[in-house]
Amino acid sequence: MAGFNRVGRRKIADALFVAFCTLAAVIALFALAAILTSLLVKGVSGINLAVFTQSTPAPESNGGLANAIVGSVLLCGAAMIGALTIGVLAGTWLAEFGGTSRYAAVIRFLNDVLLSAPSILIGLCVYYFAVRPVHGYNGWAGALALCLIATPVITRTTEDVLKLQSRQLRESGVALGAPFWVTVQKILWRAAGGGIITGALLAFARISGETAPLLFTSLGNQFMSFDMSKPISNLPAVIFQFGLSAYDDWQRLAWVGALLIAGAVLTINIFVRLISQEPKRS
Amino acid sequence: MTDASTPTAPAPEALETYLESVPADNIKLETRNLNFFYGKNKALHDVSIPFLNRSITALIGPSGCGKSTLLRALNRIYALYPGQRAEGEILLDGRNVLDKGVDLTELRARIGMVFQQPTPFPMSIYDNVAFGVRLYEKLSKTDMDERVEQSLKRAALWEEVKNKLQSPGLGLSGGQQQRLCVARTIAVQPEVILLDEPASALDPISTAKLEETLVELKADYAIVIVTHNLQQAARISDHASFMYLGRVIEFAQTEKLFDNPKVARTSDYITGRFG
Amino acid sequence: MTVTPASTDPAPLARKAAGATFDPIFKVLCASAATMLLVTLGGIVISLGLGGWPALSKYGLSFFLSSTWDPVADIYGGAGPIAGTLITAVLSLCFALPLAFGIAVFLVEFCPPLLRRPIGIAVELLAGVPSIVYGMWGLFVFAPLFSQYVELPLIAMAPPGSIWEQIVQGIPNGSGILSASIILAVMILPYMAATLRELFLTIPQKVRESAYGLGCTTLEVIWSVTLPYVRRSAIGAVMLGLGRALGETMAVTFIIGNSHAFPKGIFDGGSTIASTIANEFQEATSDLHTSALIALGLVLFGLTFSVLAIARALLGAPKNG
Repeated sequence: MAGFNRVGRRKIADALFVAFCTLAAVIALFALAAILTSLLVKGVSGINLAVFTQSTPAPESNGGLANAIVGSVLLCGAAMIGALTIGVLAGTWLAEFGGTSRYAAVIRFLNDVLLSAPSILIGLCVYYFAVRPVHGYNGWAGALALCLIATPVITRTTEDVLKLQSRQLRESGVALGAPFWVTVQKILWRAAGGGIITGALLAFARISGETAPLLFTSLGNQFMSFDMSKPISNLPAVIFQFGLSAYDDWQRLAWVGALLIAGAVLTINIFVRLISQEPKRS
Repeated sequence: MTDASTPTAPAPEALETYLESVPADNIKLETRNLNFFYGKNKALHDVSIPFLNRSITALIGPSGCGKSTLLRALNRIYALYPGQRAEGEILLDGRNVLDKGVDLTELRARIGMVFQQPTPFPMSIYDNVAFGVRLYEKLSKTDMDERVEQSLKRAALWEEVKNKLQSPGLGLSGGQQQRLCVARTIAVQPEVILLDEPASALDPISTAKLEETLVELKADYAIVIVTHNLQQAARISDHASFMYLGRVIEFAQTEKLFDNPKVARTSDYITGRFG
Repeated sequence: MTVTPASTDPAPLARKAAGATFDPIFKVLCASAATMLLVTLGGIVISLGLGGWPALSKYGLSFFLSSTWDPVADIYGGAGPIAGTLITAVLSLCFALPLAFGIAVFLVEFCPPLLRRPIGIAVELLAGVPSIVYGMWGLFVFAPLFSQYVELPLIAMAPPGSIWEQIVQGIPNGSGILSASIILAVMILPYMAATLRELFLTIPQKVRESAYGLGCTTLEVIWSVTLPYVRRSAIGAVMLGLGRALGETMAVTFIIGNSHAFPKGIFDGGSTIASTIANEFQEATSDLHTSALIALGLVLFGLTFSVLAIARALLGAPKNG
């Protein structure tokens, strides 16, 4: 009888455990659904042509987000150009030259730290070096901050996908008489291209929603501006300012902005997940 | 470099060796007292062996005997890896390729190499073949087309791919990929072709095709092939070298080496008594 | 016949690959790009150190102990935001860890194969939602509901004079330490779930099968085989989640209530280091104010750096490293 009780208890414990795990998954799905629903409910109604054609309004007047969208595109574009350049080269160094050296281990560790360092600290650092000395918030500083956030992501993925390429592929390029850098550039980067693009997309998704470091680098701008040496508007900062404001119009625009950003970011994420492989049991 | 000829590592036992002499004027590539090191490990011991023009030389021996190491020394592909080094002489047309001033890219263009696994580049079939050529020569479109076609024909691949030159090289079958690698290698117009167990990843039919290709190519090149497959060595090679423990034990014409080996260890290996 | 053996070529030595001399330059380029990462981290440390020095040297240890943060009087003590950072991070970890563990187990062990991929993607999407969107959602959707259905009933139920009453004190407007922790938990949940899931997948099938073969229930397999197998790395994953929670800015700024006082209860408004910097940096009234904010940043850097370093050490060097 004691043995049977024991079995019974074990079964009950197991059933509770299964229920708990399932509940956890349901909670996560529920949270995602709740956030997406609110975004759609509060954001979609505010979308109209003016959002894309007019600049951010003064309180209690009509306007759109055109300047913020343009600014965000400029900032993220410039940041991605820099991050791709540095990230791909740095990842290449780690995979092809650094190897198991001590310096490479240090760089790898620092890259990991940067990968999860609070973005607001990167903003402070950029403020200190690129805003304060020139006595003015500017778009370049914002782009630099975003670049520093995106670079570690690209470095990491570049190193990972380059390491997946076979040793013989490198050797066959070199064995044809190609200089090593040509082998890297024309063969390895191309072979690793899909992975690098995936990393770049994820990095782009991450920085396009990044707010904190922009607050004191590129600041914001009420008007349409293409001048990166001046303060420049951007979606996240507008959402922050408008969302915390007391004006209904501004709050409505903040929801529209949040919907736009979340829509873009989640689309990129879904796209990347769909083209990349599901993790498998080894 | 001068002490390379003196034995630096004592042999585990006195190994009997036999090296058949060959006419000096037909030697394309030759090693003299070649020693090779992986860091502190010595992998080749005083290897002296000639490779002849218009001839296939097979390197055979048990795993770890140094045959691949020897092959990788010949085009100095090992130089990619810090810590690996060769001492002694490797003479290409009488010039030591181990000398400091030698341009490695030029050396590798003259000594082509095909690897165990087919390694098509991530580009079209046409670009795979043209890749190496573009590094060295500025050819007009027609000349390049001609070169690509000729190379693919010589690698016995042309008929299979002539209608899909722009499709990716990775889309070919394993055997076709390997012949594409051969085409890619000969397109650069090398003088020597090194093959590192080129058929080990291929099915029997692809292997037969590849072997045919090699025998035809022999008319123009000095070919060195590392193989685990003794029948393959017997089928296609003119000279064969049996290696063991990083040393050349016997070098002779293939027929002689297989029918009438001079060294007991060679005959043990080819009759399957060890290895 | 254009393909002729080059042995008949009169001047084969003249051939030279274009750009062969670029090799060393390329190596230097790559190495300098890698060094940029070192420079970035160095830049963060130097800027935070130099920028925060005036405040730190003025207040010394009391910067960490005093909770008087008064820009008007130009007096700065960081105990409130520092405590807020630690409390919200630890609380959020307490909420997120069991859930993340449950999700990971669910995805690896119970999930119907057809649903595995969509649910996996959905959980990862939760990680992709920008933090400012969490902030908006937290402030406008979550907070009112939380106030009405959790805070008010709990405060009403609290017996006067009990410890319970102490804990739940604060303004029941939905913003505060507990709300911020819950939002944070939702944010770090997917990261930890994804890492734990990957860890569980590294356990050899044979090991699990032999445990099941002994008649173990799933719970017993997880408890006595899976967890011991990945314990070290799992703690690393938890630390990574903690690191994120410490430095998260925007979501917290929206919902924590932004009070610099030392929080008295879980419904009380508070602040974290990151939210304080985000709120005040642009409008800092004096150099000392700016410096105090940067000094807070330095504290945050120290906290996250140590947590991340421990996480990295526990998770082991990245593969092939």
